[in-house]
Formats: sequence, structure tokens, C-alpha cells
Amino acid sequence: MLDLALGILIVLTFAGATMAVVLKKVFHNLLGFGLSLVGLAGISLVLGSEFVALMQLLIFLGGITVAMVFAVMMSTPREQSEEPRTADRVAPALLVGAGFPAVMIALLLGGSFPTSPVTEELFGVREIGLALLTTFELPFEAISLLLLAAIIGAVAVARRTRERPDG
Amino acid sequence: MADDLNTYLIISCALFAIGLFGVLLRRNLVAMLIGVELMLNAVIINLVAFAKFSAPEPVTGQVFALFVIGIAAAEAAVGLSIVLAVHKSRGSISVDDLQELAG
Repeated sequence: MLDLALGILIVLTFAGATMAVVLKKVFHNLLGFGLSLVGLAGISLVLGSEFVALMQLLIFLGGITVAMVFAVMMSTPREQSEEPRTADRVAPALLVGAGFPAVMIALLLGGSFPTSPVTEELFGVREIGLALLTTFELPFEAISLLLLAAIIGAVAVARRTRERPDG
Repeated sequence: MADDLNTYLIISCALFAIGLFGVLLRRNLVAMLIGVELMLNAVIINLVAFAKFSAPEPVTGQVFALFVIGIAAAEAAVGLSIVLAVHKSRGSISVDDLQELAG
């Protein structure tokens, strides 16, 4: 049963990821990205991390994808320039994109990771909250500072742009 | 299949490779950003899988995954504002048009 669910989620994830990379219009890429995010949140759920799955949906799909849709609507030129897909552009990307997983998966299947017995209980929000506010207090605060700096920086960069003098 | 660590590691690796392929293939700034986000998502799957299968304290992996999500949000905010600034100043978001710093 879980295998079937995982299989469906994998198909969803990779169909979406392929759409997000291969299609030529950026808006279609974003739709594929959203599809693959749904699959990824499902995989997190299968792994028993319900809070992470919800946060993935909320932040990636609800925040980042929507922000990207706005950015695309504000920045796509009316006549979308066709990206040339010549062989000398596709070949290096294909080489790296196929060579990297080939090496990694060969290494992975060659050895094995030490696994501890899997506990079946779900790890609730309570445990994560306790960990965030005790053990990981300092990184948690540092991330909040980073987010503040990123927001201020984003506003500053997006607002204050000079027109190019030579047009 | 669903209770084998290698399944998730292979999913994550393949997803990372797709994201990497996207970053290298595309010339549109937003499309490249989508590739980076796919790579970050692959990392999250990796962390969550290790948290379930091989961590003494499973909460740690999930907390790390949450940190990755937070950083991804910051990265997207800054990246998209740069995209808008580039578009405002030259009317195109293709990487081929950005060559001031090329040697």
C-alpha cells in the first residue's frame, strides 16, 4: 500500500521536475515545479515527517512559487525570445546532469549506510518545537536574522535601480 | 521499496541531477532559480530520509530540513528581487545579456 503511494508520488515528482526543466515557457516551468513540490511533500509524509511536509507545501508552493509567478508576470518580455537549444548548449548540461547521478548511484550501491532500527511513531510538532527552542536555539535565531536581512535586501535591490545611461 | 533507505537516496540524487541539468541548460534567470530550488528540495528529501533511517535522534534531521526551507525562502526572495532589478535596468532576464563582469 505504502509502496503504491510512493510509486505514484515518485511519478508525480519526476513528471513535474522534467516539466520544470525542459519546457521552454517559464510559466509552464513553474506549473511543473508546483506539481513536483506536491509529490515531494508527499514523499516527506511517507517518510513520517509530517511537519516538514506541511512546511514544504506552505513555503515552497504557497510562498516561493507564487512569488516566482509574480516575477515572471512582471519580467517576461512581450515577445518571448526563443532559447536556442543547440547541441553545444545541451551537450555539457546533459553530460554533467547524467554523469553526476551515475557516479553517485554507483557509489551508493557499492557501499551501505549504517541504519538504526526505524521507529514507527511519528515525530510531532511538539518534539520539533522543543528541539528548535533548546538545542537549536542559536541557529534558529540566526536564521531569523538572515531572513530579516534577506527581506530588507530584497526590497532595497528591487526598488533602487538606476536606468542605464546609454539605454 | 518504501522502507529502504536507498530508494529515497536515489530519488534525491536523480532530482538533484535534474535541477543541475536545468541550471546548466537554461538561460532564463527565473528558470535557473527553479533549478536551484529543485536541488534544495532534493537535499530536504535526503535529510528527512536519513532522519528516519539512520539518525540516533530523528528530530535533528527534521530541524535541519526546516533550516534548509528557511534558507531557500531567503534565497528566492533575494534572487527574485535581483531578477526584477535586472529586468528594470535592461529589459531582459536572459543570462546571455549580462556580460559586464565577464573577463
